[in-house]
Amino acid sequence: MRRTLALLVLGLAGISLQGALPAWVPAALVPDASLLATVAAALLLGPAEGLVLAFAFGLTADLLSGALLGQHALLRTLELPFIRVVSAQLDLRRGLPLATFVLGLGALDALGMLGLGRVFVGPLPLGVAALGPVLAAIVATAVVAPLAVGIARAVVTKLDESAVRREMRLDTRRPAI
Amino acid sequence: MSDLLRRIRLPLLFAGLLLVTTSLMVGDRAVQQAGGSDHGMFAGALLGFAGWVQGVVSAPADAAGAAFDRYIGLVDVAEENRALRARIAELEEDNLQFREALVASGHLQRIAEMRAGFEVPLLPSQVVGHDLSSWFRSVLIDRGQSDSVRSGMPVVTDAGVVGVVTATSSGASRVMMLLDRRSAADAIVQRSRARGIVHGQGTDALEFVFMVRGDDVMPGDVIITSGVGGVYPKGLRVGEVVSVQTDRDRLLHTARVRPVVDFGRLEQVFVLLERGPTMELLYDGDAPPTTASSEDGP
Repeated sequence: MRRTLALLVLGLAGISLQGALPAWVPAALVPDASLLATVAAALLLGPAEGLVLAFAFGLTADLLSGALLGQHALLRTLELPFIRVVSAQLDLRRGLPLATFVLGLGALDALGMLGLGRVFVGPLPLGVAALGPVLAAIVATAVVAPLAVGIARAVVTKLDESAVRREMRLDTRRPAI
Repeated sequence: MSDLLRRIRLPLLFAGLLLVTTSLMVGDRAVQQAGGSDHGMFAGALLGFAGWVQGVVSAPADAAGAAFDRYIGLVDVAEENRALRARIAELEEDNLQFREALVASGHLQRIAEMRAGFEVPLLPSQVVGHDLSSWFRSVLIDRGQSDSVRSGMPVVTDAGVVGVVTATSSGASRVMMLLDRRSAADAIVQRSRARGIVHGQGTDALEFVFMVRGDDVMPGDVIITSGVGGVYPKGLRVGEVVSVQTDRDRLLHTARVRPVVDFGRLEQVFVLLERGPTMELLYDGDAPPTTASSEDGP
């Protein structure tokens, strides 16, 4: 539960920060925080908790973007089992495989947005001017992925260690004999 | 039984979430086609929280930019100050004479009445966040329902049209910019009065679709809102025509328009605290008390 809450807070903070980053860096180079948070949830949590968090991250992204409510949420909910299946086959703990996987996942996510946009909103722009920033954001997300997942993993590990330490402290209070 | 439940719990959760997201999309599509929404408590709180966080994160960048501008502005400021003081003294003298003349003829009162009839209250607001998705063009501003901001209200800068408010919470609002491909505004060419529709394309340029009559539209022409359509008041600057694609076999032609507003550097915007007649009809149920709206606007 503590792990889930910690990742939820981290994810929501990351998604909120994403919207403010264009004040510092070009908007096209800002990584997709909701996608990164979903990857972290898939790799570090159980399937049920991960699904709920992925849905929450997607919904938050929907609220803070011009997308339809549910558009990112649907994609994140679909992406979580996919990430778990792939992570069962490949070792995504190392930086390069993780970045490569997130690059592919980002491309699939963009295709998903295009598909959902076509069905629910109307065709999305496909010109170079429109796709350039999308591709740049996918690359930025892939580059940042090892760092973001590393931070999430460190937080979760820290929480686990403190829980173990607390149990040990309780044990030492028992009478020796 | 409990074993079965445990086994199907995950597929059930997955299917439930898929159902919820699809229902949300279908519902929100209908809401957005009607122009937008004023968020409920939870969504509103999240929007407000994100607005606050984004405001805090943006603040150092804004402060650094302002400090840099102030430093640059100090150069030659003494000279400029002297010149401006002299100019102000001249203008004050002129102003005094004009006011005396107007008061004498009773015009001032009539002008004041006319201004009251046309003016829409403007609410200054800071842009605190940008769209999370590269596919859409919207910004988050730091004013919401508590400042009388409602969905459907136009947003402008001193340069021209920015967009329209599409969602509000208590302390923040989301503004869909004119660049978004779902945006459109009825517009005219200032020079020739040729009329058409300005569309966002999801890029940094706009598209003006019009019916050709001779050379109605030329590069360099300024496009302004027409006031028709009931979303934006008449006479707001939209952009400048960069190029025209004419094909004599087609009825509708297009022009590429460069927006007058620098959407990449938006900092301060103004919300027009009065919705156009179309938006007023769409949001009849939650209409705030406003003065009579005018098709012609300010």
